[in-house]
Amino acid sequence: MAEFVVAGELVAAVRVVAVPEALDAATWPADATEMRLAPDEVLLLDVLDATAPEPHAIVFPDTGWVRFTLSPDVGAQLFEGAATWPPPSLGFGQGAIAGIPAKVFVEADCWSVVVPAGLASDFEDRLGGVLT
Amino acid sequence: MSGSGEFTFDAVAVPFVPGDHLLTALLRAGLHPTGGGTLCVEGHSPHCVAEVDGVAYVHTCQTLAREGMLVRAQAIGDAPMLPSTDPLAQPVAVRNAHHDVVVIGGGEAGRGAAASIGAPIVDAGDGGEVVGIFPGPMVAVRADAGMVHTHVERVVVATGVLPLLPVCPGNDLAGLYTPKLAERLQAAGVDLGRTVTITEPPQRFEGADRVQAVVVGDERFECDAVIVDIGTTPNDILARMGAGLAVDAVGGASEITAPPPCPTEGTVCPCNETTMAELAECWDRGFTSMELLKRASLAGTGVCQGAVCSPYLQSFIADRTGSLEARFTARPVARQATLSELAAGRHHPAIARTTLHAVHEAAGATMDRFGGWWRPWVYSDVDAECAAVRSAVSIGDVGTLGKFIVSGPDAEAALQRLVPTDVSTIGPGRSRYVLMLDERGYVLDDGMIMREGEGERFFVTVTSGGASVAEMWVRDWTADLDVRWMNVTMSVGAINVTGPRASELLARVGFDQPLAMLRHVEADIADVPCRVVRLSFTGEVSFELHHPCARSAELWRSLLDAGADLGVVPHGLDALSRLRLEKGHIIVGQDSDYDSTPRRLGHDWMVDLDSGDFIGRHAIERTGRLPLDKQLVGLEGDGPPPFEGAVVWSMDGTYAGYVTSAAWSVTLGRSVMLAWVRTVDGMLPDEVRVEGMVARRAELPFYDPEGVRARG
Repeated sequence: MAEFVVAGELVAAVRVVAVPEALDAATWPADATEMRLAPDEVLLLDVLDATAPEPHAIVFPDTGWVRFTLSPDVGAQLFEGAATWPPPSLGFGQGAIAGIPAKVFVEADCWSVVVPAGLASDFEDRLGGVLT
Repeated sequence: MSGSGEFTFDAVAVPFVPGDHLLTALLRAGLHPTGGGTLCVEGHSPHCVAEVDGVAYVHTCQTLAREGMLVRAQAIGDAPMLPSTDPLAQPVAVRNAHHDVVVIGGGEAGRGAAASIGAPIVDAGDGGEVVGIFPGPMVAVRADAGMVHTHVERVVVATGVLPLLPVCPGNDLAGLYTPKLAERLQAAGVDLGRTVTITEPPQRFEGADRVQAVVVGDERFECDAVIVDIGTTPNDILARMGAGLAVDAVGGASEITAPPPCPTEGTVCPCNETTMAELAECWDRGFTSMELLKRASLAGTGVCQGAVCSPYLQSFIADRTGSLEARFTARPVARQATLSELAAGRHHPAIARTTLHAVHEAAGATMDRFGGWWRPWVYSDVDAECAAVRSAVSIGDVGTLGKFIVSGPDAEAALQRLVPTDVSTIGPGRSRYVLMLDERGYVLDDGMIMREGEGERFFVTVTSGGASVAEMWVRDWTADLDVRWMNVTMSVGAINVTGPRASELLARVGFDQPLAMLRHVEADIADVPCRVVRLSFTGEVSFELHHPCARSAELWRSLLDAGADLGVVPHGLDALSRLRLEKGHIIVGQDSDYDSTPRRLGHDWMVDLDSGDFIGRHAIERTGRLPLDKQLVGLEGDGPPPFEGAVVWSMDGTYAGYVTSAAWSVTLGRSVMLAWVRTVDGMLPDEVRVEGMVARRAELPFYDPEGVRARG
């Protein structure tokens, strides 16, 4: 069972930009949580490195993300109070939450909300306002 | 249900009994919220609005009376007083709901539609008052616990019909009720006196303030109240509000009904007090369509959004053209909404923080917002910070720079297209200061291009705050090329180490290899993996240390610790701005204007017309043949620095331009400025006047013109 925290934590991540077909065909470390940010961009959480899926791919160990781990109840409450888009039933989604660009990965027993580190402080403040 | 009690209406105590709406209690007390006009129960007649507990435009027919309510009369056509208290002091909660379809209206048609498609119903009777339909579509609903924003694929409006309100002389008298309201009032024990029910449009109502008689056809009926039962009209405000959105109307709200007979006299739009005569005048002036008539006469632009007048506007036009025009578009909101309700769920744009933010605050820095980032403006003494840069060593947080990694077979071609320089000559491990131009040849941004290794891979920086625009720009312009872009602005930290002892400081933290100007190399600094870039914005030896942003604080502390005896102190943006000004370096967006070409900026040396085709090239070539009309120049004076934006006057007193940057240079002992100055007969003036001070035009840079110090 994941530990639920309302405070954000820097997350180990790797971001990869490559041609979409290469990303489609790529395999990532088994522990990675895959977030497909765009057809040509993927964010992998909980890994420190990844194999380039094509010769010109950009593989970037990225320390610029902060993760908020939420229980499903709290996650749903957050979306209800602060997101104009519905959360995915399972898996990845992205959009603004409380006005902050956010990525979310929904699993049966926990929700990961990931925001750029530079906006994490604002996000945390706003999260507090929503989850009261 | 509310209990018995009292509320006040313009300081008059008004008793109410359980279940009373404000309107019922007011009428029982012989009071009319707005003085007169036909009243209904649907919340669409503008004649019942009042200010309730500081909220204007509240329909008293829809609002249950509660003990202690403060109700004030509100003239329909006048703007209400602004709230005397902070309208946002009480934030309103918002709940977001998502459905495929939502049905507005719980009547027969609404229930039928909801049952057939399995959609939820929003109905005022259930405490969900629809305030408006917004793009999305999103239905904003006022509920007891706050606002509910219902995001849907489609909206079904099933709001039924409204009673037609009469338009004739005297329709602004008190004592005029729709049948439903009369029924409600009678059930509540309100004595209406002698009532007359009319089922066809009257010629006129008679009376002073209250109705005393009504004339229908050739007959005149004396009375104390008139029950106006002259037909219905579609309640289609929300459907009209959804024009262009996935909004359908069903039932009465969707009916195309024949308009009522066209009145000849009376107030047609009570919200704006537009009369039939004024409609005719607008028509005669050429406003001969529904939308034009609305704009010219203002009929339909008030509180009720045409609930009263739109059927009559239709009949007015049909009388003159023989055809039935559709009603005009309605705009949100359909009900009064407070600023708190409108602000529910909204947030200010977030201001980003570098990972050094807490370090700056702990050091006592005054933080301020620049280019979408919180940045340290000054730590304690800007002069001391400048002095540290000029005489020892200092560090600054430049993690706010826009940063991109560019890769791919066409990476060089992509950059070649974006900047007016020959990118092919930027060798591995080298970098170049470049401009980014728009199609008009105006400077859009500036930054550095660094080539990594031998391949087609680059690292690019742009100004702080320019990253998101730059990202859109470069992606758009290179979409046809085999190139990959990664925006790493928020992921890569950057610390500027600058001053004559910068190399000495870096040597103490593990970087002791020589690095020539505009070269870069990867190296560990204090065990933090960095890209070390040799450049200079301050005019002194400088190194930018690009690194994983999570390790910024560790790197910052190591530099301060290692350089303590060298006199290292951090510098803020104020110091950086002064130092770069002494060197004549521009800040795009501050010193550049919307029409700044490289030539006007004095940066035409950065444009290589032999470098192939680049964005803005043709404009540069064309405008380059024109005489120079103005230029960004250096000015210096002996008085205090003017404020940025100060007007530059020629010595004969004519306008010559304005100051973009100004500071007192402790190093040089005079004020230095960058300013836009117009040419006269192709010449720039040698002297101008700024805030009464004679300022001399000076060659740039003001400081170390040979660049000896920056090269080290």
